[in-house]
Amino acid sequence: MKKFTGSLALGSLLAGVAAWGVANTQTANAQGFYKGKTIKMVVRSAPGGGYDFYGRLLARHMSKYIPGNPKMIVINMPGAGGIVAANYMASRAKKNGTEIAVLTRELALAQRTKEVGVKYDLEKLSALGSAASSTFLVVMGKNQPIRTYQQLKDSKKTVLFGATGPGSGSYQYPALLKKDGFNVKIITGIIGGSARFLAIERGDTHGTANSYESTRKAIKELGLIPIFYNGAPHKALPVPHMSTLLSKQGKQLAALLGAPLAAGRPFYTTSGIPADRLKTLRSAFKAALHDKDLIKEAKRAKRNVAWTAASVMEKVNHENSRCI
Amino acid sequence: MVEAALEGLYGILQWKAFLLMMVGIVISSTLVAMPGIGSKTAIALLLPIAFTLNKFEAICLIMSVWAVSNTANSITSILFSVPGGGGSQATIMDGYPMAKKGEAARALAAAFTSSAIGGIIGAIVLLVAIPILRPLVLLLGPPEFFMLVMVGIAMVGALSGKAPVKGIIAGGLGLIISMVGVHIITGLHRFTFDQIFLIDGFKLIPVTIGLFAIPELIYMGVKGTGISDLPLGDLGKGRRQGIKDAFTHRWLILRSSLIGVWVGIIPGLGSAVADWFAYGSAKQTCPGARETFGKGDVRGVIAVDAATNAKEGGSLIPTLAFGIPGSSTLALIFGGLIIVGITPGRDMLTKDLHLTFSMIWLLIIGTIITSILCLAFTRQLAMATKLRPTLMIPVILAMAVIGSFAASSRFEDVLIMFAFGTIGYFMRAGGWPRPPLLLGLVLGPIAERHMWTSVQLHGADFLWRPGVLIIFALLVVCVAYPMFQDRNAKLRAQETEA
Repeated sequence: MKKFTGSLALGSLLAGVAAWGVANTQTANAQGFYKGKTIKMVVRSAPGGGYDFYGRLLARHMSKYIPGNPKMIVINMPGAGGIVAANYMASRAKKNGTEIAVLTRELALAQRTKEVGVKYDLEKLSALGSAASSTFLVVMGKNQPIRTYQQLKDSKKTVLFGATGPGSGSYQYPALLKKDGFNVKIITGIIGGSARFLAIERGDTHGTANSYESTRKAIKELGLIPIFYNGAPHKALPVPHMSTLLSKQGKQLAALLGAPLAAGRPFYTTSGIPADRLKTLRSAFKAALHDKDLIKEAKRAKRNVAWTAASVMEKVNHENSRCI
Repeated sequence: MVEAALEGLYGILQWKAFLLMMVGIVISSTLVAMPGIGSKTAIALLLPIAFTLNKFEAICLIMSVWAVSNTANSITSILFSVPGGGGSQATIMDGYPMAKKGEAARALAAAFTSSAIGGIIGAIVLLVAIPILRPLVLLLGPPEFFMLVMVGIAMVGALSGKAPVKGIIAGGLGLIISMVGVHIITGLHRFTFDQIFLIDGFKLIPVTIGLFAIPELIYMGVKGTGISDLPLGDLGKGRRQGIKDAFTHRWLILRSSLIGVWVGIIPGLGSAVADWFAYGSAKQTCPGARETFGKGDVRGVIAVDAATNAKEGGSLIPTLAFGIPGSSTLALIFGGLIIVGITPGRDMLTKDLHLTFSMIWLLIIGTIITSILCLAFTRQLAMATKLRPTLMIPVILAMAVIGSFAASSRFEDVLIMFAFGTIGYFMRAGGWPRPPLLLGLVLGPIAERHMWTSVQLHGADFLWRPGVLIIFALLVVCVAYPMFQDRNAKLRAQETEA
């Protein structure tokens, strides 16, 4: 027994030394590589808005966790709902770990439905992780009778939902309800959450679906009533999760819509990066999202921060771009 | 209320806040005044700095970039026929011809002065509107929007000058061009030919730069003279004359400012519309304007610049009334202000009224300072029109290319700019009016979207809503009044002959 413990101790020591050695060479390699270099942070939208916020936030805080402390600059690359930036990462970006991108969460779905212009394969990009999870919420106006899920389901009167257009969450959620037999009608062409809230306030429509972050203020200001939600749970939401409602088919569709929400702000780098460098970037990404200053900044901007591992993201992408 | 007003003023007059306002103003009048670089980009870059500031300081830094950007945007429009931003396109119409006549100093001075007055009027309207903000915004739904846009389209007639048929065709062409891209309501790809750069459609800035700047460059190169081949005259006198012009036409400024405020209040009409609305209305209502507008009439500059700056006060109204930003730039600004603890919405009208006042003061003070600064440099700016073409053409061309590219960092936009440059050259050479094309491009999608939503909500009955009918009556007056005036003038001329 003693011998066994002894060899175990020796083994652990050796393994430890070996691991330290490997880690040390890796750090040394990565440090050698990133020292004096500049990392480009490609943002899939124009300045302003959520993706831009997270891109800039990480660009400010990630460098201190990358050995060699490279400079980080932000480049906005809007277009075609994020497809332009994804194509760039798949083809033209340098494949050496000096280009990182925050891309659209729905890219896997766009790839599956073969949207025009898709030239990327999301599974070939290297995921770094996601910086936040997202929650989608269905709300109703205060000047109409529906207050609960059951009332919405039983409504004899057609319930009007304001929406931007197909492809947007504001359209997909009422469309799902409609498919599940609810008496709803989708009014399209009301672009942007704020315009949809005003349409409710004016009495043009009865409700809408929107991300929780952008709806929180309107719930307080305009007295909007939350009915149910999908995606990451929120303490402040006293309403049921979509997975507990709807028919069997509706639940499946809700799960499909909900999957990208788990990785709400996904970050990637290109394919073909040496494994140690990718590991460095992934751990720097994780460490930055647990950085006190970053969390403080996000809190002041009322943005949530939740790290999702690259492996989880890859799984979601795999399911969403291939299945069914 | 008086107390809140004083507290707001005191807040932004603290030395650090005031200094930050000056920083914002300088950034706004240099960087943002360059074509293609909008205030949004500058604000996104400044936001991290705002984290460390107190409420008043953050308001001063972030809002000043936005509040005064219109004033300096006119500089490139007047001097080089390159619009500095989305809202300063109509400034080209009379500003550039004035520069060609050697009156650049006068045009710039008139633009800066009317911009200051317009900004102040916008702020005052915001102040007066505080008690009635909410009903004011709720007054208009999609059907009313649709009819308002129709009023704008009716202005195509006014903007076409003596070639109404060509004007209508150009407007129609603009409408067709506006359809290119993904139809946001149905997700259909229209005229994209599977080209990824066409998915987002044609952007306004490259199209405008192409249509207006490139033809001028070609003409300049062919003529071999600078922008103006006439003597500049006494620049100081030109500047004084420009300031005087603005005060002489004070009623025009008031009218145009109110149009600007109105466009600002309505979320969804977009900032690129106010200048054309004001220009069209001035052309229809100013005596003799149909003859002189487009040839370097200072009233054309005054009307536009007053309206674009007044618009900003108006666009704060929905933001303050509902906590709902009126534009994406305001969404970004308030996103930043939340960080320092300012939450848009009802609190801004009760508990935080002093902060609202500080914004109103900022609009007034910032606008005055910017105009004075710009006026101080008017002489130097005006000299640019005398530079020889071998210097001017490369500089303006570079500006045009960078401006087209910077708007969304796409190389294809540069190609689009050159394509529209060619179209613009032939339109200019053939006497085809270019503004209707731009108006079609701007108003087409808005009209389509609001009609779509109106029909879904009300069927064809949306046309019978009282608001729609009132606006339609306005449209009829807009179209009929100039015709009536023309007929009267002809009758009078016949009488005098007889």
